[in-house]
Amino acid sequence: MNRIFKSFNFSVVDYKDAENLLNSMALKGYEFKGTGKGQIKGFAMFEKNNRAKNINYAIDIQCNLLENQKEKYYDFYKDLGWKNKDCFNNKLHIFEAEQGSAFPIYTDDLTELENLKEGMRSEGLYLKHGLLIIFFLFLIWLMFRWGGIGINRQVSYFIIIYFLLAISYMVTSMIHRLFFSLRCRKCIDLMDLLSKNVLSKELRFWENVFNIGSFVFFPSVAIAGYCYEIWGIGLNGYGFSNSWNIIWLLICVVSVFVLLSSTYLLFSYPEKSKYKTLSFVGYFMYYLSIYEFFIKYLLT
Amino acid sequence: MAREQLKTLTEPMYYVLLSLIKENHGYGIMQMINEFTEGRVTVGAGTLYALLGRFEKEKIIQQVAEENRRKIYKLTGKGKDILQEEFERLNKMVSDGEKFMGFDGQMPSPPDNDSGSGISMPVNEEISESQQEVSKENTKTPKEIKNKKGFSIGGLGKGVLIPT
Repeated sequence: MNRIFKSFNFSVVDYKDAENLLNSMALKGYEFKGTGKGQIKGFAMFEKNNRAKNINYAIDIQCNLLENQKEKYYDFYKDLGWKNKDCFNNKLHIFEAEQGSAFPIYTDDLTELENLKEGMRSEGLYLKHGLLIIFFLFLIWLMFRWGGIGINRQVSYFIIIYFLLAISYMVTSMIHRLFFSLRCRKCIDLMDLLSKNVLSKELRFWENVFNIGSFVFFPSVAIAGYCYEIWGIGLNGYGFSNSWNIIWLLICVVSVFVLLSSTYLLFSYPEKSKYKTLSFVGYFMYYLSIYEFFIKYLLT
Repeated sequence: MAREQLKTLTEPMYYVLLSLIKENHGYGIMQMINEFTEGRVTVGAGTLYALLGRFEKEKIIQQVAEENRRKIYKLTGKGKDILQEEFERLNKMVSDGEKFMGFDGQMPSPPDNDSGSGISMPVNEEISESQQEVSKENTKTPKEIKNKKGFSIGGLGKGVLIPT
């Protein structure tokens, strides 16, 4: 089986880019199999296949549908030739059809533009980013309030820089969306509007860098710190009990493996809920061990 | 939604309403429109889904049955009125077009003197009466004219085309 994983973190306004990605991979012979179903959602899996060259993909935007609404929606589209393949984030719905067997999903520009506007409104980007910004600001305030001394200060500055980078990414993304929606109000030509959506590719790239970077960076620091402490050289002289450190170290290492393996398994068997719970357990262990290390380390 | 009331009946909307004179479901609508227009007009899944949702919300169509998990719709009375008005409007447009295309005379000439509003029609008794009626109607607020029906036809309300 020849499998390829590509990053897939498109938002509502990038649905055309996502469609182009799927269709270009199909032309190369790779069939789209699904997006991440566990805690790590931002990837799509493609498999080399013979039938891929005949498949056409289309993406429709419907935000936050309930299960029964989704069923009726998928049935309706199936009648008209588009079979549902996957649903990303409960916002982008991916449909496939054989070449030439179905009319394009939107034959009327005006309806498509209305649907995009409705999708942007119900996506809740501002709320999500706003809450995260508030959360990070709160953590920064906490660190200033409770921050340690000595070597802790340099590490805490580094963490504050990380949080500030995250906040600036989110602010940029919100401003970008604001400008896009303002342009939407005046614009009546969909293709013209979408072609003006310039920054989103860069924003997606930086979001990926950020996510992958922090996924790798934080456990490495935590693991290094736990190892350092286990070998008896307490970093701020407070010698924690070694047995606890070994347990936390194991939890941290195991959680990374569990997360990665459950993500891969969920790509192959998307319906099995035991893999989903495994993924959640891995996620929980991951964050628990990292917070344990940083809070213990920074707040004492 | 920002625009609650649909102001213009676009081509897909008109054809979808036509396909719902008798009861029909999604697949049937798409097939009939494609067949009867000989492929000139096609309605995609997304367009149809959005239009049916909007029409049902505005009570222009209603669901009359459900067969094999497929919803079957039909026009309501309000929908039939709207469709009838649009059909008559389109007919008038075509017959007016024939009048224009068959027009053999000179273009109308503007008045020689500097007086007045530039209307090329001579103002006599009859016409001034009808103009008074229209100007009385135009003192109705725009809201009243629009709210006559939830679904007005393309900005061609009364009082727009008649010069005052």
